[in-house]
Amino acid sequence: MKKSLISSLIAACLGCALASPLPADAADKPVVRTSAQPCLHGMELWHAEKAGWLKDAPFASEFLFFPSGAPQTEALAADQWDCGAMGTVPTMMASMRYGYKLIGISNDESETNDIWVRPDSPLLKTRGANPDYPDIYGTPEDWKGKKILGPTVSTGHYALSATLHALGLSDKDVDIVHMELGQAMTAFNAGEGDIIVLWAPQSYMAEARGWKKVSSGTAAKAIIAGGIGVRREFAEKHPDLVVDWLDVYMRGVEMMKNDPAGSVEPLLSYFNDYCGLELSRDMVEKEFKYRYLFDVNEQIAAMEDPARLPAWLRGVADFMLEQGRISQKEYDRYAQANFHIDPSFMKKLAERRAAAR
Amino acid sequence: MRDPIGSERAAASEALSLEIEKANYFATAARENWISFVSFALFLIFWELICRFEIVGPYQLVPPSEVVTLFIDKFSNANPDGALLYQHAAASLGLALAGFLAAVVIGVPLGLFMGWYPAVNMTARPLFDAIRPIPPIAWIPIAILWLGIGTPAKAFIIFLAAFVPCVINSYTGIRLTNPVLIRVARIYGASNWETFVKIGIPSAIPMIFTGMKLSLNAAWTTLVAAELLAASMGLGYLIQLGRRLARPDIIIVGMLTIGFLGALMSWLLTRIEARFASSRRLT
Repeated sequence: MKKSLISSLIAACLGCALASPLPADAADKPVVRTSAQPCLHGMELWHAEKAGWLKDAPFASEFLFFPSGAPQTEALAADQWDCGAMGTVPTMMASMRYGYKLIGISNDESETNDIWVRPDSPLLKTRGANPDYPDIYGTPEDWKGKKILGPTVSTGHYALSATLHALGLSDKDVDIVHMELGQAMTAFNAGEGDIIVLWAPQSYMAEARGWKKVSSGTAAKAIIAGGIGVRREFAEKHPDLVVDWLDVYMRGVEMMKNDPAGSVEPLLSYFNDYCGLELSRDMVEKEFKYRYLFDVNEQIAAMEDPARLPAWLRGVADFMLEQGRISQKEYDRYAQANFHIDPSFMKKLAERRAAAR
Repeated sequence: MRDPIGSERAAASEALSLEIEKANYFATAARENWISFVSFALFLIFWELICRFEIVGPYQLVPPSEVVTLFIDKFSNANPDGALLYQHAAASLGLALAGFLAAVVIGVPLGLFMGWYPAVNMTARPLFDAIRPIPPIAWIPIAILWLGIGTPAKAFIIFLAAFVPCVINSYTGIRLTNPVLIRVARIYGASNWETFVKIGIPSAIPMIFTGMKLSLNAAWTTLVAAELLAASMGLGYLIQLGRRLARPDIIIVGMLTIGFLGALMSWLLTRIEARFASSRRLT
């Protein structure tokens, strides 16, 4: 009786193992561990799997989800993922500390790193106090002494500092309270603080609540480029796999760039069904309105032009240096390494696509 | 008849045995301290070596020598986190103490009353049992809505963590009061309140102090979570910033400072307990 019970259990376990959903060909392929966040730049590989794009790809993807850049960077240090996309600040930290290679631009997120107030804020009375920055609201006097909620050492903080600079102010003229986005929104909603720093998709929720945008990276002329990157050791060991992965990722980017209307549904599904957010169709449509996406040729041009991606990253590095978050030595080393930008993978992809044509 | 020589000898022999006992005690304590010191030193050497020989990567763990260098540097250099170490420590100490003291002031009497008066127990117990398993971090959104983002909200998060051990230990302590003492007090005409104050509370003191030590630990362990709420200074904030900047040395300095302050406060509490116990013995 006991023997037959054990045999049945073993048979059941074997049955379960044999019936596992991993197809035989996928099991044979090398695995590329992809990391992502609840952002537009996290959707590509998730959608690729759903849409069946990975069937013909020479790799299998393991999708790893992180709520923000800090745990994503820690997981990179622990060799837990290979390729992925992050915001500029975590990309910079990962490059400085771990030699993480920046191989592409996920999107231009200057407009979606933004600053908001309640509808009764005095900041809304004046627009373009500095004529060079016509889209920034409020006079320097309006901004002085205000309590600002949001994550410090972030791209949002960079947009805020650039806004303050544009008005002839600095971080010392205001009271910045470090809070993660969700908590900052709860607090702001409850009447705490005068100004809140956000980024999309939370910005769309702010707009839906009737809050008003008073500045953004674009308004303050701070260009913020989201990064596509790869772990250095993985790139050195498997350069071809990186190009294969990038091919699939760029297919997602190009789908969104070329067919924004058709891309709303997959992005909405990614945000609401997978990330657990509650966004409306209108909000997701704004993703394509506000974020500029780069195709393969535009990526190569931006990465190789010293006045574009290197200059944008230098702007963020200057901000980090000025804030005392990084040392001069770290800054110099980072700039000397050309901000760890490596366009070779994107170029190989362009060559491969040209040859295929 | 009393033998003066014999009693003198007995006294001398007793004094000698006491001296020997004392010497043995100090020898054992010295040996134990020495063993602790050597094991700690070996741990530090091991830590330094695994970092120096890069058995673990430089961005996963930094050697203790670098942690000490940063620790010293943080007394005069506000970068990269915007404040000196003592400013972070003072902010966190104030916060931890506020939460802890509130927990002691509310939790200890509540536990004692619950343990002594069945009506209080029946009234408070269901609510206490419902609140007890909720992790303090889950209260953050509610704390923001009720108390804003300042010190009261953060102290509230710490209070919730520190409150539970205070109540449980005070409750258990007073429930363990020797029933013979209670009966004797009542036979001699003591009222229920007098018995509670003069018999129940004193007998619960050791358990109350144990609860306070556990509360203190809980207060320090919840500090990082409380400073997640909102902060621009504090040891929890220092750790979070170290995380954002991918700087394990900053994280370790924050952790060790929390450990040091927690141990210091625990030691102080033990001293207070010992003093309290000795004063009770004298009376």
